[in-house]
Amino acid sequence: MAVSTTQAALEFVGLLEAQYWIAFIAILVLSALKAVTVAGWYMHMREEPRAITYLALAGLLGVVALTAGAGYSVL
Amino acid sequence: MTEDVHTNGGTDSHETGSQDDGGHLPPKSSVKRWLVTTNHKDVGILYMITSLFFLVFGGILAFMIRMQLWQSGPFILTDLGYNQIVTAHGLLMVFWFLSPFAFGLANYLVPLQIGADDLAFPRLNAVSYWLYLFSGVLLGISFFQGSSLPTGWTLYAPLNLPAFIPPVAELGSMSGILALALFIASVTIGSVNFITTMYRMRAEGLRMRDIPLFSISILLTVWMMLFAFAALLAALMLLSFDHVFAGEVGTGYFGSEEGGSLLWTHLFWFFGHPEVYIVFFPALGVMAEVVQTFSGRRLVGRKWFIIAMALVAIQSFIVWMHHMFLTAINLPIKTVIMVTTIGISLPFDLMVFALIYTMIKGQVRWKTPFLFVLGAIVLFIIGGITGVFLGAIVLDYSFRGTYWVVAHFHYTMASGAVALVGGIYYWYPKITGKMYNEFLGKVHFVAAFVGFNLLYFPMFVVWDTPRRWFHYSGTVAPEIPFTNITLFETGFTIWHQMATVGAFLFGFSFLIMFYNLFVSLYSDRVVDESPWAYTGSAEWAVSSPPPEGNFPGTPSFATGKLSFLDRAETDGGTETAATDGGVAHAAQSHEQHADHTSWWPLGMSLTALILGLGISGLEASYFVWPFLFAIPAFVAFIGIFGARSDGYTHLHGAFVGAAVPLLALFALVFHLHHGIPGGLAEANQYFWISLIGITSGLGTLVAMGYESFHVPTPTMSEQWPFEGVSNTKLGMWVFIGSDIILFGAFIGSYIFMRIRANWTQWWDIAHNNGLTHHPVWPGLLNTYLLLASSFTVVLALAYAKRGSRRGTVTALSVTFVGATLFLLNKGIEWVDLYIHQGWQFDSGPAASTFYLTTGLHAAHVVVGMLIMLFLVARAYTGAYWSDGEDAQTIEYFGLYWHFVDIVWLFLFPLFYIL
Amino acid sequence: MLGTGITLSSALRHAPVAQVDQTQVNVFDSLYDVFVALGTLIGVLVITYMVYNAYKYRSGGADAEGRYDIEEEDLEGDYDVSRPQRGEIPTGKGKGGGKKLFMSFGLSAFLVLGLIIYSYSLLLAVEDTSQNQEDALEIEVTGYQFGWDYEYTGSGLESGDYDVNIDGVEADDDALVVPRGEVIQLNVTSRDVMHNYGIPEFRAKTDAMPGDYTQTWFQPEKTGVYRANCYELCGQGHSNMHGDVVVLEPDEFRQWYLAQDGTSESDLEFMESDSQ
Ligand code: HEM
Ligand SMILES: [Cu+2]
Repeated sequence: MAVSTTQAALEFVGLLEAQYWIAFIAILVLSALKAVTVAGWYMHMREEPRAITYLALAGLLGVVALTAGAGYSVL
Repeated sequence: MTEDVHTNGGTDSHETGSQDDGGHLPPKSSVKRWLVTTNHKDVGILYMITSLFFLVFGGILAFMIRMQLWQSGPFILTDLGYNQIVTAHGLLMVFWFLSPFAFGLANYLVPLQIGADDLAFPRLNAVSYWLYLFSGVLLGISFFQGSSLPTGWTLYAPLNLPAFIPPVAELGSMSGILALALFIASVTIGSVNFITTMYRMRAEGLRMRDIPLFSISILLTVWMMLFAFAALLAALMLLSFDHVFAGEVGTGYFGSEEGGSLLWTHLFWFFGHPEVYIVFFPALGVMAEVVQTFSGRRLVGRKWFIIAMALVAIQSFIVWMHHMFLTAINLPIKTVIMVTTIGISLPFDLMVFALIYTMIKGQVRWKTPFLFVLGAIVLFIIGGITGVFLGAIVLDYSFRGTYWVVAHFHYTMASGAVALVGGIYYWYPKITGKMYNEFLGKVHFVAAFVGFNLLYFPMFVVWDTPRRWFHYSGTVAPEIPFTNITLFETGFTIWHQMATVGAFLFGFSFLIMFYNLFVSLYSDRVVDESPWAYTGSAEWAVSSPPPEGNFPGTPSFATGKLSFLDRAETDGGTETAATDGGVAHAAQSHEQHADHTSWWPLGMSLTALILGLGISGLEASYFVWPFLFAIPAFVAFIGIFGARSDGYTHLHGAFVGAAVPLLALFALVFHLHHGIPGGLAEANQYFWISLIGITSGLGTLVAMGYESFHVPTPTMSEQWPFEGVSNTKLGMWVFIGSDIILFGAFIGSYIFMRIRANWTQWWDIAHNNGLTHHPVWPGLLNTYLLLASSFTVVLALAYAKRGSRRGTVTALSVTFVGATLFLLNKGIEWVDLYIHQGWQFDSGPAASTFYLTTGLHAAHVVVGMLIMLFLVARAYTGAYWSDGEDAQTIEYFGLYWHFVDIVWLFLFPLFYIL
Repeated sequence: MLGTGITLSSALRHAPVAQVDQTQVNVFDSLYDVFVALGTLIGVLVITYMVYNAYKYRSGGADAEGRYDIEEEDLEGDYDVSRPQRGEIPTGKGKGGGKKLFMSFGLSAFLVLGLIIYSYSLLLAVEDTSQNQEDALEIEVTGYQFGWDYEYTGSGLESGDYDVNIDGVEADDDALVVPRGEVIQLNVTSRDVMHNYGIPEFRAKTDAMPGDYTQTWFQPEKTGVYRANCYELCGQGHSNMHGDVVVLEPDEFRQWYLAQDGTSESDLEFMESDSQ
């Protein structure tokens, strides 16, 4: 919990205009870390059958397909 | 947003309660039975009858289309009339006929086939049905509001926006959109229900791969439904927003020059392609079952058939752009999509061969169900081959927007419908206990098959006709392939006339079916368990119609063959789980009767219809008010219903009491905005309809939450791969799965628009559009708040498990406060951005994506808060913590809340930092 | 996946087969004929095979009234098939039948892939012309409810500024006028809703989307008046939304074009380079 909050604070400082894409990746990775923490511990994903994780991943995969496909189509 | 309230409310607010309203089904001859039933077989029958009604509705519209096409140019319809009818015909047939027709069968058969007594959440199943019916009613109403949607079933943007919809059609269009949204609510609840049932309630010894093919096809269908419809819901929410707030200017989301039109096609087809398989898959299952039985042979390559189906289901999510080959997408992505599209036709090919090989060396009986399925396979082969034409991009460039497409998809879709009709003949004796008339069945088949081909084959010949045109003369006359010989110098007319004749033949052939099925009900052709030889699955092992509880004993496949174990022995071990509608009071919880009736599904869905109708005409400046005014009512309802069910406590008094100042507060704000006497007098009738709808809707939700509805969970069932996850928890997770897509589609749209507009200059563009300052700290503060409130939910669960009343209630209340602060902070931020800086909803893409995506999230927070109020009231009177088992309810809520938290973890960087 | 797309589209682009010099009409016609021939052949074969077998293995003996089915026979040993039994677990001892299935699967996969690769090479040819054509008449097409506006990119000559009074030609004044034999390059967009611009005679078609430009091209080989239709539902006038396309002999075109205000010889350079 405390870790997550400091991470959030770090993101704020990490907003370096110069290195946009590095900051971009770092910030999203931090978000993903927090999300995994919440899902794994708060939502007990670690203790549930693996199938629950696959269920959530399936949804995520769908979203990624949509976003990547649509985004790429206008690059 | 409304259906969100319903789905959430439906999934987690139904906890426990005590008043018992009978729970036993009235006889079938009584109308009441059909209004209150939650039995899956009853609901299945309701689905089938209702979908046939919509078939007739859509069919009449089809007749009108074909009549109009008797000659080129104006005939019986106006321009607007024609567009409306083409649209409604498409929507009705795809959404309100084909899928629900299949789900009628699925409702009836899946529990029987897998050895379950009912679906996992019987009451929610009834909700699905009633929402489905009323969503169709709303679409029907739209015709009486001036004009229904005139945009085609694909609702392409920006034609679907108020700026381009004729004023007379504005109300009806909004109703049409909301009807679709209600339909999605129904579908989502249904998908959650079926997925939970099929994974958790199979008879002992029945592995996932062993379930009969029809059930497998339904399983894959509901998975596709779960994900695909969430994407459509996202698109419709954005569209509704454009309708209400972007108004005549038309520069909201889909009117945006930043690829708004293209975005719609992406979102729609990401849903739309899976949707075409969603309507077809159940038919595949029927084909497999019927071919097996009537060939007297097990499906050849069953394993590969299933693998192929699963592959297609997954792949269906990555081919959507084959509907967009002529849009502004680039060549590499077209190439990818061509490859995936062709790739998806191959598994289909394998399935067709598996069906054909099964007939070889069989004992093939050419009975009506088999005839229909054989006919369906023929149609599918033609539809599939012409689909491969479309997958070849160069050919599609010319076919796009012509009758080639129309003919292709009618061959495939009607193949599905024809197979399902075969399924109806096949299971009719099972459902009614009587055999249909074989001769009439065969006559129906011949008329339908000839009629259909006469209707659609000419369309391949005159495929150069532009789609949705009725001025088709002057288009190029068809030539015989390989030659330059023109057929019929008269042009297209004669071919379209053939099609019209075929349409009437095809349509009227169904009258034979209606007559046959109706008259046979009263015949003396009584059948026993299985009128067919070589049936395999469990529904044929029980009487026709099956008994109320489905099986004479607890079904089990433990020995490798179906057997029925003594109920008394196995039922001793039935545990009481908090499934749909929860458990009776602790004192009664060991009484083993299951409930089968409830009025609330009907009531709740009716209020949804009223609300939908209300929103269709709600003006932007009045938009939030009905919802705000309903909140005090909701609080009061919890107090009143809670006191009635759990006994009066101070907290209940406090809830009722709190409603008054809350109402006063909202009234005051309303007064500042509109002035109470004047504002109310000026509000149109839709304001009042919405107010009634949302208030009574929340009321029925609370009532449903407090209703005691007991569903025993069998202990002996096969539960792989979800052992140890209770039904409700799995249901919650499945729902979250669809919510991931909903949010994902919002976020994906944002990313799409941002890439389209130039990723790194996004905020510069926003500044040009009026944004002066977009501080990061409100987002950061809200991140803290949400994370903290997530933590207190974890605490609440821990306290509840430990049996601490004070801890549970306090932790929940703190969470509630955290959420309130979150909203408050957001409110202040929005007021600053929106009012002070003048950065409004339609101030360019950065603004609309920001407000809508974070707005959807805020709506989720509000729903969570309403549920929390309910939980607090229940916890105060002893629920969750006094009985260890019960604490899970808080866990289920926690899943939802943590998920909302996780979403924010991504919204924060995306909309504040990057 | 994306990788495949990029590699395929760039690799095949340079393959010799992509260098066909054909109009969209030729490409479509030849490909369509191949597809129709093969499609019909396969369709007829498969359907006949299925119906033949269903007929060959038919079983009489069912009660004529249709009330009862045949008696189940135990054919164990007669054939290597397994018959469904009530209440069974269907995955039990079933014979796979996989080999035959995969044979036919492989065969059709081979066919379909062959067709697609062939059609893909033609696609690249079509796309190439659309993107890399220097000697073309470039025209911007803007769809609106309910018609088409044209602008000749070179001179800025627009619909409304010109009329189509040509001897022997009956066409509306908002027609598109082009020379025979030249490549006509279209940049298509829309002013209001989404339309789709298509000239069926020349197999040119592309979406007209507000805020976006899409490209297509055609090369008319015969003179006359043709139609450009709208292929995307665009509102109440959709069913009647079409305009004329006038194809003139090059000389006639030159004459007509230069007679309009603001045009000059230099706009027509694309025609010279062709005739050399
Ligand atoms: C066998 C493989 C199939 C292939 C390769 C295929 C390919 C295609 C393609 C490329 C299109 C887009 C045409 C266009 O608008 O230009 C299309 C349209 C369509 N297909 Fe298929 N298809 C197949 C099977 C099916 C099946 C099984 C169904 C449903 C039962 C189906 C239903 C549709 C529908 C409804 C449309 C038209 C949607 C619209 O524009 O309104 N297709 N198909
Ligand atoms: Cu598709």
